[in-house]
Amino acid sequence: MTARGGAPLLRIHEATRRFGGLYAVQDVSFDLAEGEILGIIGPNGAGKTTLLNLVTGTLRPTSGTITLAGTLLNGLRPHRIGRLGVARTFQVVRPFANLSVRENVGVGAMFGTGGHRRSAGEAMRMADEVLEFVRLDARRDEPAESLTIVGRKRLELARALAMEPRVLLLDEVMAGLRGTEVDEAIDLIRAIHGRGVALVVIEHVMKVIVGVCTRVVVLDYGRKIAEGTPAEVTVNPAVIEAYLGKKYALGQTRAN
Amino acid sequence: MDLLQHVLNGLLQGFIFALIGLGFSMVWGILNIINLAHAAFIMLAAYLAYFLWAGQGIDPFVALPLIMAILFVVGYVIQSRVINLVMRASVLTTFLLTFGMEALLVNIALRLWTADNRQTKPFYANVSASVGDLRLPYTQLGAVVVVITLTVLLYLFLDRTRTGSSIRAVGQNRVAATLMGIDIARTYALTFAISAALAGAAGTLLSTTSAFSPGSFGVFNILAFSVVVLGGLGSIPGALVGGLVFGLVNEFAGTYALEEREVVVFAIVVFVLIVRPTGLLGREGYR
Amino acid sequence: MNLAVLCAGLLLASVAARPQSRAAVRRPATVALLLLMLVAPLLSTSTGILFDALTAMCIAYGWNVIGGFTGYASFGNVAYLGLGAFVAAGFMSRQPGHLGLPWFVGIPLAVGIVSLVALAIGLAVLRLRGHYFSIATLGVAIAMPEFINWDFAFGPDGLIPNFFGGGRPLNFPLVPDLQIPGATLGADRYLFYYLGLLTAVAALATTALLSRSKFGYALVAIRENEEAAEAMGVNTTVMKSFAYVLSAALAALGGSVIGFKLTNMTTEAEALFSTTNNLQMIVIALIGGTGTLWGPWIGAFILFAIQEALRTLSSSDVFLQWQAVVFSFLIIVVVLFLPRGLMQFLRGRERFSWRVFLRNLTANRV
Repeated sequence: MTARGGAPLLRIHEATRRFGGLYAVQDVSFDLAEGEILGIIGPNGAGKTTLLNLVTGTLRPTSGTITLAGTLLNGLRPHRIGRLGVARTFQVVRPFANLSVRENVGVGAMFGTGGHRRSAGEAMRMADEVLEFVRLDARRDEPAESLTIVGRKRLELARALAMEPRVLLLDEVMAGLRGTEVDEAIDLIRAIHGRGVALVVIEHVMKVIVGVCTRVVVLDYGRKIAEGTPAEVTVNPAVIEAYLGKKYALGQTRAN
Repeated sequence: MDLLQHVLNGLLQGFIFALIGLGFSMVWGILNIINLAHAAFIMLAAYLAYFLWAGQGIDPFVALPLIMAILFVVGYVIQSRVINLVMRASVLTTFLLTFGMEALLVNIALRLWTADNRQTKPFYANVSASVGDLRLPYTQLGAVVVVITLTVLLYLFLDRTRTGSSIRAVGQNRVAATLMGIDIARTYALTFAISAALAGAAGTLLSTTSAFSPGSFGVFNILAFSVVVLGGLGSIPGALVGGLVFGLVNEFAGTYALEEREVVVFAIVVFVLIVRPTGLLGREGYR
Repeated sequence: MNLAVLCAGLLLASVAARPQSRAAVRRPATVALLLLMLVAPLLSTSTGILFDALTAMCIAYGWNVIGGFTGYASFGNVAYLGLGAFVAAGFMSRQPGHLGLPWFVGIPLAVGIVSLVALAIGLAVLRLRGHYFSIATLGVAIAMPEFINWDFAFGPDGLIPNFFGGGRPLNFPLVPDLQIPGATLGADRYLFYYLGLLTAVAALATTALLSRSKFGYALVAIRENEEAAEAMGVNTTVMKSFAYVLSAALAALGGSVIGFKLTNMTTEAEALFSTTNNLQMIVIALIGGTGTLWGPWIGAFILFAIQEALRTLSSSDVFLQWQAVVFSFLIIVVVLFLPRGLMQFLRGRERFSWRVFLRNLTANRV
């Protein structure tokens, strides 16, 4: 199902991942169109991160296909998928601690899409641009490990952006952020989207999902149980039941 | 020689290998350190046994508990004062430290005791029991008894006592163990000390079965590693199986010196590591 | 006199290494250092220890690539050191059945062959990580001398009969002293020294190129966070393998030059595979600072300066005998008190004080 006309950018078709007898992800299908912001929500353990790992190539699908603009991603190694235009952030943010902020981003510019055309020096200049965009340029020569959690998350985004991705997968970017930090992060996500990157946002913070996503996919126990606009999904009985015990309604925001 | 005799020889040897693997596996499984000084502990014990026998006429099997106690203290001190300092450092650091300690101890031994071959030779040294055509050297039979006793004691200790359980807990989940009030540093030191004591037993037994010099023991690090990988980290029966298998392979690999056989089996072990990282009887955590 | 050269060299290298000094200070320091090393044989009659320091440095630079930059602590590069020496000897020997190649063909050839061997081994061991990788490489170090003595391949009736001497000494022609009008340039003092210097400079240059290149960044990214590096487009398998082969090549380069100087590869040459050599390359890199450009240079000069100082100060017999013990003790001390090497001070973030050592000591305890 595409939001706009034309072939989907990322197509996930009956993706399944099994670990022994346990199905972490089972028959999940959905599409991501160019320029879309898709949200993925679900209780803990629903398989969201596993699904993300299937797309990035960290894990191989047991069955099903994942295609990016017609290219089959199944079985490709993560670095190949990265170069094809799929970037991700990690839930537990761990930058290259002993490198400077600038060098961290530089690595993305060197090895992402188009990296092979760039020299080390050119990649660093590109890194500077990206750092300005995420507003980390003041700290660019400092070692990455000296950044606060907010800085590290910006750095994580900058590294991914430097790869010039077509699709950016965000894994619980808001975790650990509060109040205005969340708002700033939402602004940054919108700005990234403005640069023409399609986004997949895995989140628990409904404020973000509601505020940013055009469509939402809901997972529970590895299966897709609902898909639609944020409004549709939050009143979906199956979704509410999956979250039984956590009550919220559309329009009510909860600080995490 | 008869095939059965070969099998027997291999198994008898294998018990000592298993003991070496057991101690090595404890430190690896609980402290997550590959302790290259393990071979040096074995060496120290062998020389202790030799000097007690040559100087005071004490039978190695009689001296065994004393030697184990000495090595226990040595291990405790070394872990709590030295190794503890690098417990959260990189692989390179901990590896280098234990490697450095092994080199230090071996080189000091070379200076003090020279490279002359030693061996303890109690009165029953060349005497064997006979079962039919098979010969069972008393020293190796004694070794088997010791190894089995120690293994059972170790199992009971880890399984039935509070201290033993706390050791297992630390091995499985350090953070949770801290939250439950277990003193991590003390547990580490204790585990290391037990491992050293086991190495001490192995060294004492080895002093009776073959001639040795300071350089003979380095190969036991690779051997211990191979035994543990074959049998699976964290498994007592695994260490036994690994040791016995290794003993058999060692025996049947022909007339090569110990080092060359080591190499072939080690290559197999690396292959196993790549293909099946949990070893033959692999299990998570320490049991 | 050698000691003076080593100390002066140390000073110049330290100046050249400081990242915060201006290039106008660092570049002359580097040039001065090179000049110093070029004229060293004119200053001292026996350059043996300088040769040792320079070749050890080359080998340590090799280790630095895989252990320092990439973060894969190899304990087996000594295998490539020894293999390089033996392969070079095998090609240079004029005994029956050997090719008798000149050194400028034999040594590069040896480096090439050892690199191929390292590639094959590397593809296997690089699939392991952390402790497993370290001990697997240790196994390689133990296996290599056995491999060289493998009768099936290299024995008198083997596939390449007696290539490594078949259990008997392998020797190649003594390099003659060079006669020029007015002077004799001793081979020991000049030729071998300059060969050693060449290996050290080659190693330094390679590392300099590496640290500024995309390849270098790929390696440190792998060291810092291999999974993230892979996700960012770094082909970790290819990069790691290349680093491993490069480290082996530099070890083989140093080793073959050392073997060349030995002239006679007796079974004592098996000492090339010793634990001491194995640890030496790591300790040199450690003392200077792993993963840095000047670390191995500084580390080698310090180690050999200490050695030279102790040798001249004490009765040589006693020192030689206890050398191994002192060295092992030094390893432990360095690992405990100076794990990040001297670059920790040169980088300017810490002032030199005893407290730094204490802090290093307790930084990682439970």
